[in-house]
Amino acid sequence: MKGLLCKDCCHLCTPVGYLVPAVLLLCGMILKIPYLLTFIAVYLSALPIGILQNDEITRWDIRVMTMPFSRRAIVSEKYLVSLLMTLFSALLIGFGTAVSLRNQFPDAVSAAAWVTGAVMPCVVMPALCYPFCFRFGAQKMNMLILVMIILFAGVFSAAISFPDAVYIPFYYPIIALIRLFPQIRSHRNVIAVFNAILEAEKIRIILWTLAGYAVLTVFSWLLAVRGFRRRSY
Amino acid sequence: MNRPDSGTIRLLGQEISAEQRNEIGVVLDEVGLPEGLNTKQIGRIMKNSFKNWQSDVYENYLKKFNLPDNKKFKTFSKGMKMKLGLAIALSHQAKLLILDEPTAGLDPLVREELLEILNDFTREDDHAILISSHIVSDLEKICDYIAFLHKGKLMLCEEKDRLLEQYGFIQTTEENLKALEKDAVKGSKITKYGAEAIVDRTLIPQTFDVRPVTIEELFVYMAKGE
Repeated sequence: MKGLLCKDCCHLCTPVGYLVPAVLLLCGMILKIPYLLTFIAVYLSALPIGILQNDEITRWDIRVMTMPFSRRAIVSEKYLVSLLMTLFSALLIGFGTAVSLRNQFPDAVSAAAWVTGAVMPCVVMPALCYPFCFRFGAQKMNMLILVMIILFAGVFSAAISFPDAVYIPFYYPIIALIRLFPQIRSHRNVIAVFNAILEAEKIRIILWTLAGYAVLTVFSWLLAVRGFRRRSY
Repeated sequence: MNRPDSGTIRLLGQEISAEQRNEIGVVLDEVGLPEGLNTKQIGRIMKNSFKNWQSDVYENYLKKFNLPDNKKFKTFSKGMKMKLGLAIALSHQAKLLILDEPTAGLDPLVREELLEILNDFTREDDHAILISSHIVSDLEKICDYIAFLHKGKLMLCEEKDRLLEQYGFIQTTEENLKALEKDAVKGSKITKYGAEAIVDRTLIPQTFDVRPVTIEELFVYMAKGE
C-alpha cells in the first residue's frame, strides 16, 4: 500500500501546498467569515475523489491491478488518504478558528465542536461516493460527485457558518425527530429544548459525532471493498 | 481483469495472488502511469510497490532509453511511454512479462530496439514473455510459440519453427487445388490468374513447388478459410 500512498501524495502535494499558505495568509484578513474556513474541508474532501477520477483517465486503475496489491488494499488506501485529508482539514480549520474566530465562541469546547462539524464533508463525501466509484467507476459517478460538492460547498458550509448556531449540522435532523413527538408543539420550544441539551452535553456530542463518522466510514469501506471485488474492467 | 466464471488460473506454478504479481511485469497498450509525474517520482512509487525493485537497473534503463528524469510523463511520445513501461517491467526481477501490443504505433527503429531488449530478457532460463500483437512480423522475430485467435476461437497454438516447417505456400491452378486432400489446404484464394493456397507439406504430392510461408500469410489465409 506504500506505493499507492506515495503516488497519491505526489498528486496531492501541489493542491495542498497551495492551500496552506493561502490559509495562513487569509487567517488575519477575510477568514473571519466562517464560510471560507468550512470550505477548506469541502476542497480537501474533493481532492482524493478527483485523484480517483484522474486514475481512470490515465488508466492507472488498470495498471494498479497488475501490481502486487489486493483489491482490498487499493480501496483501503483511498480511505486512508481521505482520513489524512480529514485530519489535515481539522488542523487547518482548527488553526483558522483559533486565530480568526476565537471571539465568536464562548469556550474551547464549543470551538472544538464547531470544528468537528466543519470537517464533516471530508468524512461524508468519500463515505457516500467511494462505494459507487469503486463499483461503477469514478467517471460514471461525475454527477453524484458534483451534487455532493454543491451540497457541501453551498448548503452545508452556509448552514454551519453561523457561530451562533454552531451545531446546525446536527440541528435539523434532531429537530425533525423531536417534531414527531406531539407534546412538543412549537418550533421555538424545540429549539429551546435542543439548545439546553447541547449546552449540557457538548463533549458528548463531539464524541458521538466522531463515533458516527467512524461507523459511517467503516460501513462505506465494507461496501466499497465488496463492490470493487465484483467489478470487471 | 474480469472475474472468472469458473475454473482457476495457475501462474508460474502457483494460484494467482497479489503477492505473486511481484514476479510479473506487465506492459499494456496504454502504459497507464500518472500523467503529472516524472520518471524519478514514478521510480519512487514503484520502489514502494514491488518487493524486488532494483533502482539501479531502472536508472540504467532510463539512461539506455534516453528518458529524461525531470519531464512529466504526459510530455512523452508514445515510444517513450512504452519504453518507460518496459523499463518498469524489467526492473523488479520479473520472471514473466505480459505485453499487450507493445510495438503498436512505434516507428521501426524503436520497435527494433524494443524487440532486442525482449530477446535479451528471454535469454535467462527462467524468463518468459507472453505477448499479444497484431504486428505479426514482430511475433515472428521473437516468439518460440505462436497462438492465433480469430473471432474468439483459437485457430492454432504451435511452436513457430514447426509451423514454418509444416506449412508452405503454393501457386497452382484451380483444378489442381480442388484435387488436393481437404485437410491439406489450410486456406486458399482463387484469382483470375489461378489459385494460391497455404498447404500442409506432408499431405500434398511432392510434385508441387512449395515455397516457405510467413506467419502473416498463414494467419491471413487461415482467417479467410474460416
